[in-house]
Amino acid sequence: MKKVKKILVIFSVLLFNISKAQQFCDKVTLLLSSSPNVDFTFDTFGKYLGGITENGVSQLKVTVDNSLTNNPDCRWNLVIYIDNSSNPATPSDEWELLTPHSSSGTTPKINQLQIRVRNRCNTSTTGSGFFNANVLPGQPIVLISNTGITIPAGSCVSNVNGPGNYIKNYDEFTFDIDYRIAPGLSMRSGIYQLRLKYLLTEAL
Amino acid sequence: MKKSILTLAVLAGMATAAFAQLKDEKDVTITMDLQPILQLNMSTPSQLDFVFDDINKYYAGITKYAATVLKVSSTVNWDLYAIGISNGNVGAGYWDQQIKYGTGGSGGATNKLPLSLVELRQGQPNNNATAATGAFKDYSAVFPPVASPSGSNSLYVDPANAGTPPTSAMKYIAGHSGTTATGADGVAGGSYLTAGGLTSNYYYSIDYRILPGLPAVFPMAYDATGVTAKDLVTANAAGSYAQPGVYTMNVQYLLLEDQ
Repeated sequence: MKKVKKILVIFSVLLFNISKAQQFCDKVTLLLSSSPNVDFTFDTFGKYLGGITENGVSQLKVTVDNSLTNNPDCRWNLVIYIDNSSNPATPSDEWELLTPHSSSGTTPKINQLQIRVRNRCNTSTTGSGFFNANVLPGQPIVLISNTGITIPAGSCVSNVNGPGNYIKNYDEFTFDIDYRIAPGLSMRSGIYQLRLKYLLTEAL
Repeated sequence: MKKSILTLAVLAGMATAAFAQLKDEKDVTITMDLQPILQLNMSTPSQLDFVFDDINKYYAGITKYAATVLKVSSTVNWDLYAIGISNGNVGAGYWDQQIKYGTGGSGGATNKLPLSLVELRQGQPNNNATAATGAFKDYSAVFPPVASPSGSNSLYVDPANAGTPPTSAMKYIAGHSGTTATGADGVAGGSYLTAGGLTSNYYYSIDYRILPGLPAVFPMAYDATGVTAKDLVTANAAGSYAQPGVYTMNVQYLLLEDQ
């Protein structure tokens, strides 16, 4: 009897794990076809007051493949996590200060970074305009969300999340990222840094 | 039986590992370099001449209104002050004598004219100097009358002739000595381009006055604090007066980060 119970327990664990982590897609790949470093230098008043806009400096290309399993539940998410520091002294809502140029002024906030995510079909749920990077610690900015409903490639609407790739569906699986910063005249001068983590995941 | 259990356990582990969520990640690092910028624009002539060729000019002085206009733009907190300097060919802290007229006068004539005989008046008061400790925090007072000499507008000159900024007991055009807080001794970053109006803290018109007096002893010359008189009689001896000639000096305006 004891042996039977052991077998049943192990079998249950096996079934539980299978149901918890079942894979619907065969492969997800995120390609960054641009420089991983974006630099903003503010050295004139015009730049401080008017800001600097860098258009298309980041480009993401998505590939989500389910050609082997052909599972209809294969969907994907695309989000941004903003990481500001390896230094625990940096407040969660501020840029990381690498080196100061002066001692007066306020440290820029993360939400002064504006982002625009675009492709020809406007599939990003963030819309077609710039948005402030307002995030709570550990919370992502959602570009393509998991609604539980598959919007197939080729639909050319918001939140296309079905399998596909940037070669066949360029206007839905390629994202051009624009950045804008307008610091104003009260910031503490120095060199600051942020890390943007673009995360493509299979939607479970 | 034990082998079967082991096999099932291995299979369970493999199943868990084989069906982990698929993901891929790419990182972009954004670097922002905010460079400190301080700009002081002076849209007026850099050469001012005061010619005393009439008794009235000696007695009442010569005043040049709005002869200098200063416009400030800064991305950091800032201070602005004026300082009198010369080449020191007569001595440190004195005007440079270029020409002596005639024999130079009698025994009481002196060519040691203190740089602080120049008076300034700023059109916009210093609204960011609550931490100042001296008798005069800026140059916003009206020019004192001839009959009541005062150091309220006397130009700051470094007593050590080292170009040292004024202390909290001396005069600043904007901001002041120290880094206590914006408003106390520093002006917030900004620009005359966006902060206009009659009460702008980023725009200053400067009047100049030189009042030799009769005799020419320059009664409005005071020390760096504006408290101790430095006219020619007080600084030298009774009977002293300015030697006729051509003299030159430099008024330097300095815009610097709040300090």
